[in-house]
Amino acid sequence: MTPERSCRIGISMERDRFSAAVVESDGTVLASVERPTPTAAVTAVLPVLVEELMAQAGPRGVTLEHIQQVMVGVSEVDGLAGLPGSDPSWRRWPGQLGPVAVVRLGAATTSLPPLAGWPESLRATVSIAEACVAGGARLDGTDFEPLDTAGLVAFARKIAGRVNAVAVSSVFATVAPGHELAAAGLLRAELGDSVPILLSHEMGGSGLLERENATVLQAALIRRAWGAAHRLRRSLVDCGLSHAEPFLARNDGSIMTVDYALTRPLLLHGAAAATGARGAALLAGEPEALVAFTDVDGAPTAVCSVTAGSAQLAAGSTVIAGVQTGLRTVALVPTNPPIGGTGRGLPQLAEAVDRAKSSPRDLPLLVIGPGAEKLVDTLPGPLPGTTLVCCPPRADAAAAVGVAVAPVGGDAVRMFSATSPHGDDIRHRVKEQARAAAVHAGADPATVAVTDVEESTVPHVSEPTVLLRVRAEGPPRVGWRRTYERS
Amino acid sequence: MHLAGGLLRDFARGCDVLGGGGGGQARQALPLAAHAVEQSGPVRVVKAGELPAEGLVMPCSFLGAPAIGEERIGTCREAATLRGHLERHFGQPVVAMLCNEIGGFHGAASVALAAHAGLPMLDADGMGRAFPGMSLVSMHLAGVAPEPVVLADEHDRVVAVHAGGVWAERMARSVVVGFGDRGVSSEYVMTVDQVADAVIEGSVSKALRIGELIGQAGSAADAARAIVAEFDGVLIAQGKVAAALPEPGRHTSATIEGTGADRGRTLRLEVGNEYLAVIEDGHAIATVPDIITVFDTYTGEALGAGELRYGQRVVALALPCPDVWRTPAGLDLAGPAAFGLDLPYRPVVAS
Repeated sequence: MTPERSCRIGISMERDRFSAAVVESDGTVLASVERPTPTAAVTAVLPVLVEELMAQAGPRGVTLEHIQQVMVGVSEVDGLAGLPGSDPSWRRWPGQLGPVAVVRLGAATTSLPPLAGWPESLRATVSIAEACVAGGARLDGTDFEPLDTAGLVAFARKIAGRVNAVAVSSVFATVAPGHELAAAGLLRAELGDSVPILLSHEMGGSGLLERENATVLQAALIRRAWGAAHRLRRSLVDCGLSHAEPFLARNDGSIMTVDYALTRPLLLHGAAAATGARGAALLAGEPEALVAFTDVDGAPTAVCSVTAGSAQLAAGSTVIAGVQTGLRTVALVPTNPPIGGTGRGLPQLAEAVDRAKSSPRDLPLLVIGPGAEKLVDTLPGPLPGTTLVCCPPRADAAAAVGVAVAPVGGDAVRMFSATSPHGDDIRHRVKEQARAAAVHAGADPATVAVTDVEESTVPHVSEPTVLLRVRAEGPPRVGWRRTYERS
Repeated sequence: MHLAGGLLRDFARGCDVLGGGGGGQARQALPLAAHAVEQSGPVRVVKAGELPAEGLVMPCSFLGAPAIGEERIGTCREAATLRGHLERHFGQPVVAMLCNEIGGFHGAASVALAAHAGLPMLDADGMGRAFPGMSLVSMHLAGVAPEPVVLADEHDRVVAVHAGGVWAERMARSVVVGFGDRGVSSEYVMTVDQVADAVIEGSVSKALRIGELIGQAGSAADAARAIVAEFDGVLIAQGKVAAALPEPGRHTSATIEGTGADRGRTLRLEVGNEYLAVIEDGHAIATVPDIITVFDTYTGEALGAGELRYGQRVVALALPCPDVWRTPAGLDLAGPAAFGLDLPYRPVVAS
């Protein structure tokens, strides 16, 4: 039975604080809370926040029955995942980190073998074996090297029974994933179905090493992520929300189903900033703006820019636990002074505001986070470079509102020859792939649509080559059938 | 002197400064160099005088498209393959590697190539900075023949081009296309006694020293001041990027507005593959082939020409190029006009 109202709960976890909100399907915010938490774990705060949110939303006619989805975002994944060197204040996911085996398809890539340059302690914890075997593709889709099936089988026998997951990467896997798929089949035949095999083309991104690093980290995290997903679902049942489907926020501020996230736990990284920016833009009604984040003392910590309601992502890659990954997170400009400089006040905020822009145009500055009101109150006057400075309603819980209203996204990237006679076919297919990717991540198949198409040429390549990126987005699916019951 | 450990990082920082915005980022080649040194041991840096006169010096560099190199990262054993081929061809041992282009990626990457080839690096290079194209090297000006140009891919496929002049570059390019836009090449192979007049000496130690100065400085501005003081350059200005729209391979303009003591000044930065000129009030303050470097004051890194964005806080400086580029023949090849600028060359002079 479908209830007459459809609401969502959004939860955003920072290291030592959390925020949560109940949002109606039309975007109306019905309730919100923001406060410190002694334990940075969703399962620890869930019972408390559900009770408080419903106390606020109840008088407006909302009951637990009306909550159709619960969206959760975290500020960083390395603390949760217990990666070496991460912040210890997170309640880390228990369970084993790795061990994994790493296979790279591409024998002639040994200038940097798998995991070369990783922090030694992380490498030793995560991986028991690495190999480069022949395989991979060239830009034109032909074989880089013929796939060394015998080498793969020999490697699989060496690691059988000793690993919890295998990470497979391959030269130009994003152009031609065939060898990764074939390798997965061979490995599965040797290792059995219980050992997850993660393929780099599913992570995506250009740059063999960054894609491989991300795939290895995901493989290492997979046991812990499974446990965490299980506990999240169980605690929703305990809170009377067994009918609500949980979604998790991603690096780019969109959301994904828990199933989708299981093999991609790295995508959780940096979500709170992205959903905070989205929430700020929505709450203030300003889709083109700058967003300042604050700490509880009212000090600004960082600024980012928002276009069309979404946070702008950094051009470069993201370092997680000392490892360069292809993950793209929000282009946050911290309010730190330059190297050798001092101070952390209004001049630094004004400079961060300017550095976060992509043009000199004045924009509204939306201040969010636990110290938002305090910061806006202490401003002596207008801030240079801004049209106005405002603290939108429920600014403290903007990240929770942002995650509750976030769409589900999917990307597809393809490189192809600019002279290909099948160009239009390829463009059509890539758009379909983006829509399929969004549906795979949990978008409603009926309403998912292409939201962005970006076509560029690959520089300095002799054969004119097109790089096509398509993004599709849609609202999260409804009609989740509960599969978890507490016996 | 040996390149390893922390010196590699200093060296890469210096390469990025000497790149003048071009040549890619040396910091991206640093893991390659670090791994190669871990495998094969520190790379010795030598002066020509320490080498036997009849031994061969092998310039070596990567060719192709960066987007291909990110996937096909190669083995760096290509350098060993080239060495073997050259030794068979000339019947002489190769005794050192020469970095073709000290500026940017290739500077740091040549440490990896030298390590894998089992060769010391000559304390010199062919450009003293970064340039697009492989004919913009001092060996060319000195009349050294480029042929044979020997090219290898990561699967030990080797092609030797025996053709001079423009044909050397033309044929070499088509070989790289055949390799799939990625390869390693060697050209302008010389004997040690040819080296003295044909290379830019001291480039490796210069990059190292610049990196050391950056490491010692408390801020980007301090680093810039220390570098111009030691290498006879000029500090152009401290400011912010007020406009920038870099497009790979295209010539565009960026604007830097002065801040602090430079408030009120407006500089136009001509940007191509590297920084080509700084113009203030219609006058060129610095032009190619002198080296224009732009530091980001927040990261402390030298910004590549393609990395310029609105809002960056920067400090810009110019360093004199090696003397060979200041000769009429050098300016013909690498002066402002060669980069499509209608500007006279006004050498950077230390104030």
